[in-house]
Amino acid sequence: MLRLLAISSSAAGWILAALVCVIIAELVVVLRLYKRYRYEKSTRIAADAVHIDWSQTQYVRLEQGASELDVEKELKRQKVVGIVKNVFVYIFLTACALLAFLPFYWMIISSLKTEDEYREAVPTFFPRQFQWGNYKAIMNQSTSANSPTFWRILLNTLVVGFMSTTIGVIITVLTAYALARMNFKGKNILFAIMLATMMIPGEMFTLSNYLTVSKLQMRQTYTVLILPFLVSVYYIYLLRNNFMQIPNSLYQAAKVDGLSDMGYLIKVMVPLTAPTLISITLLKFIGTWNSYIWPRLVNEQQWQMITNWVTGSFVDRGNVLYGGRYGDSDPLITLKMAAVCMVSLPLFILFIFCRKYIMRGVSKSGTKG
Amino acid sequence: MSFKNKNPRDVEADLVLSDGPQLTRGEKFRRGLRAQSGWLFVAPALILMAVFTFYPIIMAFIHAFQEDYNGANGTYSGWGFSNFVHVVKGDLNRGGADFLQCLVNTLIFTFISVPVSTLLALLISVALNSIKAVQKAYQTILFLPYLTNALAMGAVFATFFTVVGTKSHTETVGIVNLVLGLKDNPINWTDVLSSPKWELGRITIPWANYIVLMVYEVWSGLPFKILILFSALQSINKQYYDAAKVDGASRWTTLWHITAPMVSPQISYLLVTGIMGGMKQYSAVVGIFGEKMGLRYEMGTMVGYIYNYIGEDKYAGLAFAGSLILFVIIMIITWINNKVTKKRTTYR
Repeated sequence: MLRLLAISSSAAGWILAALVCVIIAELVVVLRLYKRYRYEKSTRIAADAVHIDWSQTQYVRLEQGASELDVEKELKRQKVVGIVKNVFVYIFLTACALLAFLPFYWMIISSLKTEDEYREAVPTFFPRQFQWGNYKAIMNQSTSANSPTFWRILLNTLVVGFMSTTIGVIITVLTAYALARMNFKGKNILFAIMLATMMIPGEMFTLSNYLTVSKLQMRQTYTVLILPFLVSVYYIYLLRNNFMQIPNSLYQAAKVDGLSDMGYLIKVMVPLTAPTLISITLLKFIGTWNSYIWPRLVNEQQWQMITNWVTGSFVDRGNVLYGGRYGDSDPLITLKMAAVCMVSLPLFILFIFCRKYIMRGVSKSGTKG
Repeated sequence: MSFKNKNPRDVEADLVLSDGPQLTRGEKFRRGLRAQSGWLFVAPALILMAVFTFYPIIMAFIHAFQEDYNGANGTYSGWGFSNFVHVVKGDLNRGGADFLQCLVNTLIFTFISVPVSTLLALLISVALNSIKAVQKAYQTILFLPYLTNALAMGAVFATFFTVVGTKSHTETVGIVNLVLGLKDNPINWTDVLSSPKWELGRITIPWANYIVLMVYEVWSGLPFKILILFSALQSINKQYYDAAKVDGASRWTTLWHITAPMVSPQISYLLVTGIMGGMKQYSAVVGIFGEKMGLRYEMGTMVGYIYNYIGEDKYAGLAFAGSLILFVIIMIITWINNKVTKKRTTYR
């Protein structure tokens, strides 16, 4: 393979070689950091001992020579330096916070400007006049001649989101319960195989699944958007670990009270693991909301999802807004930004209100959404 | 009979079996069957996984080695490595993505944007950790990009860099050109044709376009990294800093000799997960550069390469071969991950 690369282009070969060097350098840094971490860990007790030594030596030094005036001066100097450093820290953080927020701000103000104002040579940072018509325009008309309206797309997304979330959570709960609490032959092997599939990139499934659903004539339906993503091994794993933490004595008590396995699951396990279940529900819905590739592959525009809709180009259809000054071939950025707002703001609001649950779910997996 | 160290189900079974009357064969069989009722609970998941997970994996491995595999009717001419050869050589190009270009693009995005954003996240978390007043407010604002739609926010970033209008009549040059003082001679950062690039034989390096993508990647990757690093920093024992202060260590020395080693498990974890995510980059590129990732996949990624064959049944074998190559790369990264971060314990 390397020879093939070298033949195809010597310049490309050089780029690849340079990249390999960068990768190796980065690996070396990672390894060094790791080694240092382990070293620090092993000498932690020793470091504490040294800490005491240091303070003693300083104490001795003070007694021997330094006058009190010097100490006060030094303290003053340190205070000044501390304040200056703090000012720099605040400036740095403020700049970062502003940059983090800028895209959201820009998105919102752009969606409310008129296209004329947006295209001025020097951009304005607050719309001179709010044009709510942008939102009205994108909601009530389709993006191109044969594409669906926003309402149709929203309906698609909500139906698919609701169905896949509900059924998906039920399947996750059942599977996690069986893997955590029930004994059946081959359980451990099954769990190991399921975990192993997590390492495989989703693109490998998508290709075959595309062929499968084409053969099964499932395209242009909601079913095809729901079925392939009902089972998520990561959520099963998360919930199983949660179930395992519930003490066994509860199970025995429930059995004495005459509860069946199913009754125990619904009446005891589910309420006890409610926070995790909320996390899973939210993340599953967000996943559906953000899904882009699969709906684009298997469904035509009438059956696609909201993220597919937002990638379309929005023109002044029917010359409602600008009376024909921007034609059908000139995509309007203000309309696009209005569409982007419609897709992003629900996520934004969800994040603000359910931050705790979303973060708990995501921070353990290391993947976004 | 001892109840200790026994699963309650087994205990229950023992009780029933020992105390009850002698069981008939049919009854025993039914009891045995009931013990396997767990399979009923996992059945829905198992059936779905069989169709949409296990079967596709096996088929991906098979189709990748079938020569001239046709996705529509499933015909092929023989077995071998010709799909992989075609992928790497790019000699079956029909105006779509070029594998080498996509590989180079993906590697460059990943191995520049991930370390940059991790380093920036470390600096921000250290700064955040060192202040007391309004810490919560800064934290909240910095976390805002945590949950975003890559395609939507990609479009927003594109507007920062895009020149609107024709060459003779430019209407707005975008914020970035204004800030950089390129008002009269703007660079159209999101346009693959007119933006500056290096031509290197088979591949091109459209560096201006890379910058747009990397800015987006750093912005969208920071919140998660800050979250992990900030919580790691807060759990560091303050004694180390006191000791360093007594020793007269500068802030920079403290950062490099105390903070960095203490959070090194988190840093390596972030690097590895970031690299894994970067290798699967797709949505953001589409959000910024459109469905074709430029005009002809000039900004293509590995995943973009795989998907550019979907719907073209004649080339399905190439797509499978490409996905197998991606799989191998990700397995290598996973292996390194397991080697390096075996002891990552403290984050949560």
